[in-house]
Amino acid sequence: MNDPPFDSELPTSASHDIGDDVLRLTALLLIFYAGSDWLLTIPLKIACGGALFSSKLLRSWVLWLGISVLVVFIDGGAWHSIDNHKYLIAYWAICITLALSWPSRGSWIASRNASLLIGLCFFFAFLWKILAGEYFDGSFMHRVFLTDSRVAVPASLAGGVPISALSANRSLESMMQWSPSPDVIVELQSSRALSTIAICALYWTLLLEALIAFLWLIPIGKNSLVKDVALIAFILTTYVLLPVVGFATVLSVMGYAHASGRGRRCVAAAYLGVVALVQLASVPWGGLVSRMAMA
Amino acid sequence: MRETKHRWGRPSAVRNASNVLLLLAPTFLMCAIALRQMWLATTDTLSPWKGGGFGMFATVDSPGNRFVQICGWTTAGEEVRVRLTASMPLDINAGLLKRLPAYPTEPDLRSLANSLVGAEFIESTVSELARRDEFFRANPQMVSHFPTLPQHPRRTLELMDRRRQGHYGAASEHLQAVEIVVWRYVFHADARTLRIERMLGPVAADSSTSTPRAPQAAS
Repeated sequence: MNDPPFDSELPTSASHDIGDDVLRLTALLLIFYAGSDWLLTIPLKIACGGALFSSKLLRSWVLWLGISVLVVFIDGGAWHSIDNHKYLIAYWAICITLALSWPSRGSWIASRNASLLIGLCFFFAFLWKILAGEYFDGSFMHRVFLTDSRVAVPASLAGGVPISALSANRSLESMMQWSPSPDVIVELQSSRALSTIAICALYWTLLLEALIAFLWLIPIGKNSLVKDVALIAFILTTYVLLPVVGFATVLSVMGYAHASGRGRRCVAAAYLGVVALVQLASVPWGGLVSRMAMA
Repeated sequence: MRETKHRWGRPSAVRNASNVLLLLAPTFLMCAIALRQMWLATTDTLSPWKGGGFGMFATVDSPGNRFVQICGWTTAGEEVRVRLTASMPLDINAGLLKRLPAYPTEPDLRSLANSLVGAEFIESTVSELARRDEFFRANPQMVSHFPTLPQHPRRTLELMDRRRQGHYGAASEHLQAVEIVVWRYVFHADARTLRIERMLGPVAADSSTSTPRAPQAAS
């Protein structure tokens, strides 16, 4: 098989083969966040666990092809109910298979696909916020603050709405399911401050998403540090508040692969730090703060 | 295999293009799936949050903000609520129950309704009525929000698990008719008001239209 004509795109300092560190991180990502069903989780734990202990298995494109086929077919069977980060993980597993099956260009394949996948993910997220039409008036984010238990503590602290009022909002919402009727209109308890915070939060998200999509997709931003700073800022500000740790981890792993493929070790290390930091989002902060307040 | 080359020895443009297509296959796959999701979510009932189009946190219309209401009529003609959980041992596809909030379709609702008619039910120990009364005792000012409360059926039934047959105190019941509606929440930020709108249904089935069910095998 001939090498593809992409030599001009590769930095001279970078190794052409995909690094073991990227493969190990991806194996961990698959073990923890790819499975939606025991049919997938068990084989993934065995295959990726084996790859973590054997460097021969780690670099076997046949193993990664098997993993990709499993992820695509089993997660694909539940395409309507799985989260979007599981799609991203599947695309990334295919990237790794391609990178290993073409060793002389492995690093380029992983780096280029990582950049495009991140850029497109944010582009589609931005596009949906424009299409859905619920974003600019703040209704979506305001609703999240008023009824999502995961953000109750920050919403209460910043917006001045008592935790008990937010809890009553959730009760009212669930009671609407008991006797559904289009005539029932429930006024949720809120504050002007919370409404303002919701609008600020949504414009911050929208701005960052547009910036990340632009910087990761256009060729001019290829080696820009700003795109990494923007992505890390997004992950830290969004996923600490709304704990979708799987999404934060797959974005960080792809950011790491992109940076290490271009020989930018400090940026790659920053992404590793982010992977560690976002795990803190799984701590039930709301419950802890409530318990401390009660004590 | 003989390779097509320019006279300078470089691979041909066609070969370059096919290399790019192969190497960037995951990216092209992502675009194709995202565009399909956008089509299904804007022209059909797929939730923008699901389907690989990255529409999460863009709209209130997530699967968690949709719910399925199932009303049933017992053989005695009493209206009851039916409570379902995805883990219930049921002769219907469990995938269908998972799919309903994310991508409800009329054939799926019909299939569910037909499965429920004639199935064995038991009165639910989860008393929604008791929970509701308790909430209103604590928050009397909230009662005014719910003008339709008296129409709420008094009893809730859930599907009987034959493996736990000995644990049930009451005898099983059957439904002669079932009606299913999918609702979703709508929020207006200016007025801070929440209401619900009918998304799909009602889809009905009764004992004359559904196929008789074989009894569930005890394990």
